[in-house]
Amino acid sequence: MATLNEAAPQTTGTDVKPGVIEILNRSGQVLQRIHYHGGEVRVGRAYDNDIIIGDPYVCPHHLTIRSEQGRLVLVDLDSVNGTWNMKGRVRLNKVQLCEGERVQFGHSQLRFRPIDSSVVPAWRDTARLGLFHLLGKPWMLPLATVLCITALSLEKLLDSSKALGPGVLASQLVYPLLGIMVWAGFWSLLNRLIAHRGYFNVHLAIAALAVVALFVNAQAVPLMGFALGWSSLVGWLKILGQIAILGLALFTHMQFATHGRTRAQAFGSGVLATLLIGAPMLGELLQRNEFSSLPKLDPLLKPPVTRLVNGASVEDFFLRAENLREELEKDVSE
Amino acid sequence: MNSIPQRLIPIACLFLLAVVVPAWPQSADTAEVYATWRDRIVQIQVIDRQADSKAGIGSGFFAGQPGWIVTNYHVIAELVNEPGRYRSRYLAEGGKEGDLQLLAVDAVHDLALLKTDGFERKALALATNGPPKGTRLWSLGYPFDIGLTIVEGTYNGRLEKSLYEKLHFTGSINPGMSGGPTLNDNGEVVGINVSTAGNQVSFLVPVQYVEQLVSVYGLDAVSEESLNLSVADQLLDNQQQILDRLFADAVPVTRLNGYSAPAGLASFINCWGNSSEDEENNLSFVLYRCQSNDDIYLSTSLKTGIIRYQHELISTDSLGAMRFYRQLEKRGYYPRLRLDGDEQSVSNYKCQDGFVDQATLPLKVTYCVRSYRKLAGLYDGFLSTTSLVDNREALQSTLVLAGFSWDNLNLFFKRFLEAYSWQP
Repeated sequence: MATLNEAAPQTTGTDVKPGVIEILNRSGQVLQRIHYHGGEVRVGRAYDNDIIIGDPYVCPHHLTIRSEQGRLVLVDLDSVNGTWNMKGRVRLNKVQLCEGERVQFGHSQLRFRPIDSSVVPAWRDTARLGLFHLLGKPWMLPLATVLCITALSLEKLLDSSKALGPGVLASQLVYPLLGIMVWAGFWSLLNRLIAHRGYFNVHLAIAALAVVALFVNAQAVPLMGFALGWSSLVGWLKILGQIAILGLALFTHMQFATHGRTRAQAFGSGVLATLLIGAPMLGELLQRNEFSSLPKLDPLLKPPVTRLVNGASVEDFFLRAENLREELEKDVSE
Repeated sequence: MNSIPQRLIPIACLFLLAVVVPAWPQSADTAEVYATWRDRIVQIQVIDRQADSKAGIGSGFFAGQPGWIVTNYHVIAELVNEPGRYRSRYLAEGGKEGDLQLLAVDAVHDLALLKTDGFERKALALATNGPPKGTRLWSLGYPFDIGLTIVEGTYNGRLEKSLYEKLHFTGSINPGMSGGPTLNDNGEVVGINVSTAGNQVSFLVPVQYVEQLVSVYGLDAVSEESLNLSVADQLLDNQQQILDRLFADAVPVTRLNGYSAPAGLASFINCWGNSSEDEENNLSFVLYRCQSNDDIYLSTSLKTGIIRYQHELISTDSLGAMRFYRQLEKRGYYPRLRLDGDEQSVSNYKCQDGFVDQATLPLKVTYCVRSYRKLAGLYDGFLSTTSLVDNREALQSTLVLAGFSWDNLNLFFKRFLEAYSWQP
């Protein structure tokens, strides 16, 4: 960081509290921080300035900053593009620089912070902490990709009764894989905007592993439901599994891409996952309550060998049906 | 002399035939039957009260007490289902018209008894004996709202494979003639026009049920509630009779590979079968489908008194167990066996499922039921089963019943399930 210790500033009044002049780009990213200990500092594009700005919209000698009677004052030096307040509506010729307040000049911004200003706590480098650091390992992306392609292929195979050759299978995987890439790209972009690093490989690994987990959830839950005779719970368990997987994936993406507190990230990802999975389900649930002349059921059938519980007798099965009669009577009376 | 060109010879022959052969002879009997009985037939109109216009038409005839008119239940079903929305009128030959009151219905045999607003004609006599097969009969009615029409045809006996007794009349009964009489040459009613299968295959309600209707029911118009109660009672009686007929003996079974499953339960249940290969999907099918040949009309959206079931033996040579059972899941249970029904007439289905260990054949069973909203005590049921004994072969069955009491519905399904077995 450059300092102005040797800049021999000209004092024009009582000096202000020492601080730092920050030069930011138009999106608010800090480009330079220069210690200010009083006196006059000239800012512009020319090399004879105290602070040199590489912004073509800034004049060679654009503005000066000096202390006047204990206040820090910014004076525009009749620049071409002027100096403006942050809303860009008021052109400033001479203005007091308050702590933390920003002004625009050219396509740049300037802000003064006293030297005792507080700073935010250090960001957690999640890529190097806990299990998350595994996501950044060089072997993780190839492993996740292989698992993901295997899961998608198995899903296609299990869902089809046709003989699927490698070519057909590959063509069916193009869109799902593209979707995963776009998803990872979105998070990588967000990562770059917020944390100035893309971590594309990490986000791609997260997305691929989430797809694998969703596949396992889609296969294991019905299998368990069938094995234990819990058909009626399978739908809900699948949804809960999907919410948990999506929530965990979103949380992991956020850990890399954003700087919020862990609890807030966990809460946000949980809510977002519930909304993303739950909203379509809510529509489906509402639709289920609509009248239909067809019974709405999803037959749950798996190979006989996977069944773990005994069946009821015919008599017992129809005794249980008395509950249906009560439900029907309630329905009709309503 | 120039000879006639050869290509004109067929045309010339046709011309000669038209000149020499007289037109199809008009039956004197038919003209006489029409002239004699035409004033005993009326057109029945169901009028939408709001539009004050006819929403449906049929035919009817004077029978029983003075001013009583018999027609089909399905002609005036809307009066029972939505009396606030519809009323009925008659339109007699000669232009006389007036309002009708609904006295009674026999939903099972598709008959209704109405009363005019005072307009009377002598009742048609009801035949006491069925005619011999081949007897010439005349059907009268108002087809397509184009005026009273007489159709000459032949009596072909009682339907042997019908759940609900019907007479087979060979003649063209068309829409609008429903409820009209079919007469013998004495002018006695042999049957009531009710339906057609096309190509002159038509069906009549036997006149004995008209006799029952006019002799049993009262004189005054009845309320919607009592009509619905009456219809419900008739349907409950009817389903009890069906069940008694079906399960008097042991349930017959058909064999599909190693599986035994219920076969045609009675003569009125017609069974068909076929097999097919779906090479693209690596699946083979053997289908055995049965259904009762008739149903009971309750409204445009609801028919009842139905028994349908099918067994489908599905097998594969090349699919693994997980893929095979996934295909069974995707096929669903009810491709062609759905029942009618709208929200006003029936509730939504309520379902349960589970494993049932039946004799040597473990099954995955799904059971769904719904109830009738206006006809208390009547239910429709839907039972689906999939066998769980083999990784590459499964028997999927579906049984659909419409219009049964709760106890009989369950009894029917139990008897059905108990008939399953498997022998490797």
